[in-house]
Amino acid sequence: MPKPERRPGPVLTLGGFDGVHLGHRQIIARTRDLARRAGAPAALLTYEPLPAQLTHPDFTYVLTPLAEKVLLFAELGIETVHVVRFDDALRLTGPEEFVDREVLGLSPSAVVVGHDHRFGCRGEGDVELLRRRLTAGGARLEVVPEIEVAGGPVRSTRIRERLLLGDVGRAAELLGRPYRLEGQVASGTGTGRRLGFPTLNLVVGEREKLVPADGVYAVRVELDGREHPGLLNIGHRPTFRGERRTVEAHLLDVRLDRPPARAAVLFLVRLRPERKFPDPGALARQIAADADRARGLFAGRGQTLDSPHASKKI
Amino acid sequence: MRGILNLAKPSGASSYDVIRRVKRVLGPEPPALGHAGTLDPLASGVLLVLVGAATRVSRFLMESDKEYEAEVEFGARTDTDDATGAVVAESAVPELDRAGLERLLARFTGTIEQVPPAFSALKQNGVPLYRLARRGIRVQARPRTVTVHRLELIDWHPPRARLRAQVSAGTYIRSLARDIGRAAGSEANLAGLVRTRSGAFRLVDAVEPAILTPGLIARSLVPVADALPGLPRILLPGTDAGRLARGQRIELDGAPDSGFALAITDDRRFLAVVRADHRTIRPVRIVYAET
Repeated sequence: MPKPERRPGPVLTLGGFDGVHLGHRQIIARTRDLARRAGAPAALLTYEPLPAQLTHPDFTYVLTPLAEKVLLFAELGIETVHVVRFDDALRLTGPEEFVDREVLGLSPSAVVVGHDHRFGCRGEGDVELLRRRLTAGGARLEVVPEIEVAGGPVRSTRIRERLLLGDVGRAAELLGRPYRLEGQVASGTGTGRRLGFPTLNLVVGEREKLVPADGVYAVRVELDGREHPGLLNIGHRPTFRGERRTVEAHLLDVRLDRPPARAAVLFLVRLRPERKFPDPGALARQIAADADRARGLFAGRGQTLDSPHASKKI
Repeated sequence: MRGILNLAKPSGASSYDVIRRVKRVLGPEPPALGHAGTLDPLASGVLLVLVGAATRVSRFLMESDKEYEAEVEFGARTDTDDATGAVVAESAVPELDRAGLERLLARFTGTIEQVPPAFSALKQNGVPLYRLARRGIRVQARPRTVTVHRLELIDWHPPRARLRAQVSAGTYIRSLARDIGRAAGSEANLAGLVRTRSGAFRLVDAVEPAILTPGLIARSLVPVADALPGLPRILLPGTDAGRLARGQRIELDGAPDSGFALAITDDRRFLAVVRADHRTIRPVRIVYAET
């Protein structure tokens, strides 16, 4: 009888991967390719919560919560995600111990990381330490160089900065897809409907995920797996002296009989900052102008409003 | 201003809420503040708040053993493994007598493997694990090794058991509750938790955050030198302190052979955490050096 063929240890990549941006995608793609070539499983080890969330309790700038990340990892060909709980105990783990226990503990045949990968207590572990330790443990290390887009490195921090400024176009370029917010749809105050622009009020949980700068955006709205062009307002609704920050989407092409339970928006272009109008009529006229502009964008530049990198193979 | 505040965190507040409270009491320009060992909002009990230079020894305080009183409720597992989560599985309460439950608990003492609590973030976005499985991806929480020094049954009134646990740093009592439920052929979650001790600090000595005043904070601060009884102490001549403060290693008769130690001058104006290695010591962290 032929001996059953043993699958080699997984090809493993490590990181926080917040955003799953173009740089991350490159690292993950390399992991998947090496795994395929070796007939090994493609695996990924990540942390939850992000180190910054533990050390800065007010950190509310997560680009991709774990569930969203995992779905993206699946699309990119990862088979197993190992989640290390990032807490005080892990924070106190020395880098050598971290590699021996968490990385070599998974018996990888190879490990792939970004060139600036850091880990362990206070990020004391770097690529060189990782290489030494892995070699001793019988796994090889592959380092993926940083990529540059639009005159700078692709980093989660840079994407956060762009989104907090409302520059969703540049953020999409760095992410390789438009930034996405998903949430439950809550019943609103009916203000939008009275103005002639009914909206879906998204409950997004600002503690879990970054909400871009206040303003009006052209967005694609995902409802039950279908996409619709839309207009999105983020802000405090100054014309109506609103207190809470709201995220409201208006659909440009359909009227819904009843609101859906959940919806997602994909940020394409920021049209203008939020601003206070003298009366609701003036606001309604501005929204009509915003809607016309958004329709123009969707009609004239339909192609470019799609994810700029959606079809680009990395 | 520096030292360690032993505060009694109330249930419902986050660890960070307690720090915010201290910050407010200390006024416009508070010293650096931190805490050693997060306590979940559900839990109450000892929370160490580190003030000023004491923040530099946070890791040594965090590494100390903890003692808890835990209320374990049998019959349901939740997505957070405690009472704040949504019920994900139900089962009958095990028919165990006191002795039976004690035998079960004995299996959870010593060095054990533990999977940290479920990742609530996985559910927040409405993507339960089974849906991920359909997309061809598995998500696994990495287990860790922890030590349960002592696990005693205080009370057993089904469906609730009251336990006393003395554990190493990094142990999740929520996970312990969940695993005890499983081992009993049932499900369980953590219904209540009180941290009764963290290292040398006991709940009976802890101060209520609600009554804090600047004066009470000043009186309650425990000096760093007294907060780490687990570390051996080295008494230093002043000249050696100067060299340590400059980051130099020094030879010292009577220094331990290995491990961390507290190096302190007899006037208490210098304190550092050092690492000892065959009668030499080198500074790991200068806590303070007053001139």
